Amino acid sequence: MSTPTGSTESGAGADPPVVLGDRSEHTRRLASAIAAGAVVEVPAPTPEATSWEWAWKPVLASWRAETRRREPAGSVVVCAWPRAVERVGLLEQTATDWRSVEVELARWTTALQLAGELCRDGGAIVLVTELPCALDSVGLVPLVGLSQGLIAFTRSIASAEGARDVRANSVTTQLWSTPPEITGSAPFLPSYPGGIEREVAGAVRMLLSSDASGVTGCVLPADGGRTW
Amino acid sequence: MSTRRVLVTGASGGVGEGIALACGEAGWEVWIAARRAAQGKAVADAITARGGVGRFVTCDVGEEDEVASVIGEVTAGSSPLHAIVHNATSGYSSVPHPPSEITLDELEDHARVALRALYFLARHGHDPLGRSRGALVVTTSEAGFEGKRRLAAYAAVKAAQRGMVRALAREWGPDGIRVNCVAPLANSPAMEDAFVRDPTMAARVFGRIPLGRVGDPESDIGRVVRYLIGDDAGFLTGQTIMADGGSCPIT
Repeated sequence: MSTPTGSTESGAGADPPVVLGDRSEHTRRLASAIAAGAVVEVPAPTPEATSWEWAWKPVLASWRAETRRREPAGSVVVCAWPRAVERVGLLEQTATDWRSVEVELARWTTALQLAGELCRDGGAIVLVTELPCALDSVGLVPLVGLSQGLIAFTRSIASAEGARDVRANSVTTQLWSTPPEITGSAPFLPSYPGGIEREVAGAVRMLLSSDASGVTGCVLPADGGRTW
Repeated sequence: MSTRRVLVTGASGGVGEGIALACGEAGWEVWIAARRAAQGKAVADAITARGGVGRFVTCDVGEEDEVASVIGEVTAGSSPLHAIVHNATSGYSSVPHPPSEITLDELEDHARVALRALYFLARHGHDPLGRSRGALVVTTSEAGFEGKRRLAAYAAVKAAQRGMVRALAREWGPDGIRVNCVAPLANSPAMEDAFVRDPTMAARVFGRIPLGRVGDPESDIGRVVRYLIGDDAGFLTGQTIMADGGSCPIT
């Protein structure tokens, strides 16, 4: 666990958001931009080299069991950005590549489960995930599938936790999956694909705030209008 | 409609059986790939009795060598393969509980049957589908659009399938292969099981269907899939057809 340096209290006052994410610079920047109170690292197990078995399940299970003992938080952000984005046709995806996709699915759904458990009544959960629009999705079949799956899981949490006034929404980005050439109509905004501190953090802050008190189960693309 | 040779996974009952029977109704050759041999052979026999050609092959779609073997058998002797319908789903698909209670064992099975199998079917099916300029159809769900309060893992993999299909449609379009989804709402053993496990579910399901009923697997779902495979859908790709009586509010 680490706390971003120089963080200040968020719009949630003395109850800053907790970020569940990885050790990347991108996650740290988002956490800092939303004045997160802490970044809790989600483990990234290594898939088996020659077996499809999820032998690494205990790593995630024990992390969740340990982390759920944390103090509840008023809001939780699950920053599920990919570790790398490379355009590879599905036919060229190796078994190792696909096993890594399954690890990502497991680690981020576990993080979302934990977000549901850590979030106080009346709080908010935001998933941040990279999701190229359909026009830009060639070579990114696993990423699109993974992100859509996490969004649906977040919607399920919105439905399950709504009775205690917990909201759960998703922000999608296209920071690392911008296409080599724009096909179709150009994105609406010249700021496309946007930046972490302004466009993405702004969308996250809004969804965490009381301004979004009636918003749950939604997907907010923060990509300059590229997705619509 | 010209005849087709199609492979349907998870077709030993329920929606998969309905899809297989509807394809057989058109006189097509339908290969049923499933784990339950007795049930699968019965469906194959029913197809043949109705004027189609029904064939059964035991297959666990979560095992790559079995998927490769099935596709090899279907295309033996340079026989064409016009369509693959991936309908198989995890046995946990109708086991409801809150998101917090989903175990990694369950998620693993969902991922294995819904997503890993799709990856295997796509990799091994691409070439024969390309030669026939054929179609890949995946059975998704309204859960993949709206999430489900007590079926979150199922909703996640169904949404993932839909996302993969949209991206794959763009990736394979130049190869002449169409890729689509169907999101059915049909009477099935899985649904009946879900109603037993969650008695309040029936009221919720029926309460929002404008047509006032759930679909019949063959006439309401199977014929939609048959359409997606056939020539009439020759310009349709990357889409999800909601065969749900109007139930799902998100399309």
